[in-house]
Amino acid sequence: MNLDSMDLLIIEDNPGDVVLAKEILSQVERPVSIRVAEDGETALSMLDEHLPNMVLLDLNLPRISGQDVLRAIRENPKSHAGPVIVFSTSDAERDVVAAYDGGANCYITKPVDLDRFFKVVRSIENFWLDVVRLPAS
Amino acid sequence: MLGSSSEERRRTDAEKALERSNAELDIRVHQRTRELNSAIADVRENELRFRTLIELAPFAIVVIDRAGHIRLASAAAYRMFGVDEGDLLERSVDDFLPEELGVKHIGDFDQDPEPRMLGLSRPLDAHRLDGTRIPVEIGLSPAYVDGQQMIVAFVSDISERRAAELLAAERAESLEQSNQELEQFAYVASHDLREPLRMISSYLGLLSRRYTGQLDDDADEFIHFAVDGAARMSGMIEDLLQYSRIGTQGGELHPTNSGEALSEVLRDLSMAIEEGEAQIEVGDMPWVMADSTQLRRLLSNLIGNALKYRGEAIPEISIHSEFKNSRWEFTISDNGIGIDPEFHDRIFRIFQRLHGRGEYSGSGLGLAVCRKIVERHGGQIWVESRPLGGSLFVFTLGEAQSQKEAAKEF
Repeated sequence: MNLDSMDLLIIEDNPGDVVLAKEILSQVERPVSIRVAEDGETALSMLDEHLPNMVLLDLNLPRISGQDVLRAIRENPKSHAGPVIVFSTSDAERDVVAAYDGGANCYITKPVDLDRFFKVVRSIENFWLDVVRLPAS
Repeated sequence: MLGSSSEERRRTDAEKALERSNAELDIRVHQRTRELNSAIADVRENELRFRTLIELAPFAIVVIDRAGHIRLASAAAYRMFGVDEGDLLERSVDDFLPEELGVKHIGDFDQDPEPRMLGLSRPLDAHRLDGTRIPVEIGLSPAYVDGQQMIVAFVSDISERRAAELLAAERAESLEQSNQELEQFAYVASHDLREPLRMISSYLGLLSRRYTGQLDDDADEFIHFAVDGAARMSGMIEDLLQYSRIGTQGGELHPTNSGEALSEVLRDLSMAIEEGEAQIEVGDMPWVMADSTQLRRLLSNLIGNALKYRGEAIPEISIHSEFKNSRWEFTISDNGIGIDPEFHDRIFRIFQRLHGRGEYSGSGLGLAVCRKIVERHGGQIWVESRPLGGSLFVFTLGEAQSQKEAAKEF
């Protein structure tokens, strides 16, 4: 089976989380290209240069908040339909609601357990790359 | 001659009669004087009694005429208002009371001259002439004085009571605040602690995934303990978060069918009940004032404990309720391992465990959650030992308002 490649932008300021995500994604059975933005400004300029096929967004970012990055992604006609997965430590109801109101495609609380993390990443890639039909960019 | 002698006799008679009547008059005057003196003495005595009564009364007594002028005042009134007698008499009540309760109020009182209390439903301050204020309660009563309709006011200085009430309210508020701060702290601590803990447990997971078997046996064991510790801490933080949410995210109390809540809990626990072959006996369950989610949690924790801490015998658990001292008292009894009376208080504290981790799992939060739920509902929870072994948990809840209303109609 010929799998579509995964072209991912991780917007995350915690290096521990970035390394962990890379580690887990290295075990995905498809070509993966990962770029990392450590803050909102960098993320927006990287999105302007190149449109990935998936965005993993942390909410708790320095300066421009994840919530504002999400709004900017949705306001840009180029990126308004692409999957944005909010990946946050918070399980507070107001954060979840605000993320969906802002146009997040899904909200995932960062798993404490490494095995769960693998499962979560596997379901994300399967769903967004193999199941869902998105506008061709 | 005859005529003159009879004339003389008549005069003598008349003089005697006059003397007699003078004497009688004298007696009567004396008698009247005596009566009058005695009446005056009576009046004085009455007045003295009346004065004594007025002066000894623990409240100030002020008599006011229809124009709102003070006509009579007891010594307590002078003391309360800090004035001399002359300074109080003939003054208007408006000098001492808020406008709406002064002269204006007399018209209202005339329309409905029934005894009444002022300052009961809302605080009332009287003012002294120097402008300082005294918290008071005033009883008003119509009275006839000197043939005129007047108003007698009984004024009590309630400064001490008001100060005590204020102090009690302040203490309650500061207690409430410190409870809220504690809950907030528990919430923030558990929330923010999760982030670094997630790093620890994720990377320990990565270490064990990648290097187990590549290092020596000791290293594998060390990693195992570290993973286990991180997992336990994660569980405790989760529990702490839930514990703090009982207070911050609890719902309002509504009339709730505790029988329904119990059925749901027993359904949720059905696997554990079947596995342990436990026998559950349930009595009549009332409507109570409760947050139904928390009531289910309470019942679930208590019944879950009864199943978990079973003895050798087949678990027998009974759940009953009884209306006692105007509250519903619920009892959950089991034939399990029981709890040493020495620990009856300690088990309701947060993270208290009586058993080694190898014997029974759990973070030691279940009963602390139960206590917090019951206390939030204004009830109490405690445990008693059963004579033949096992435990008896008791908690109280308020009766449902709607049911109370329904009961009144019978």
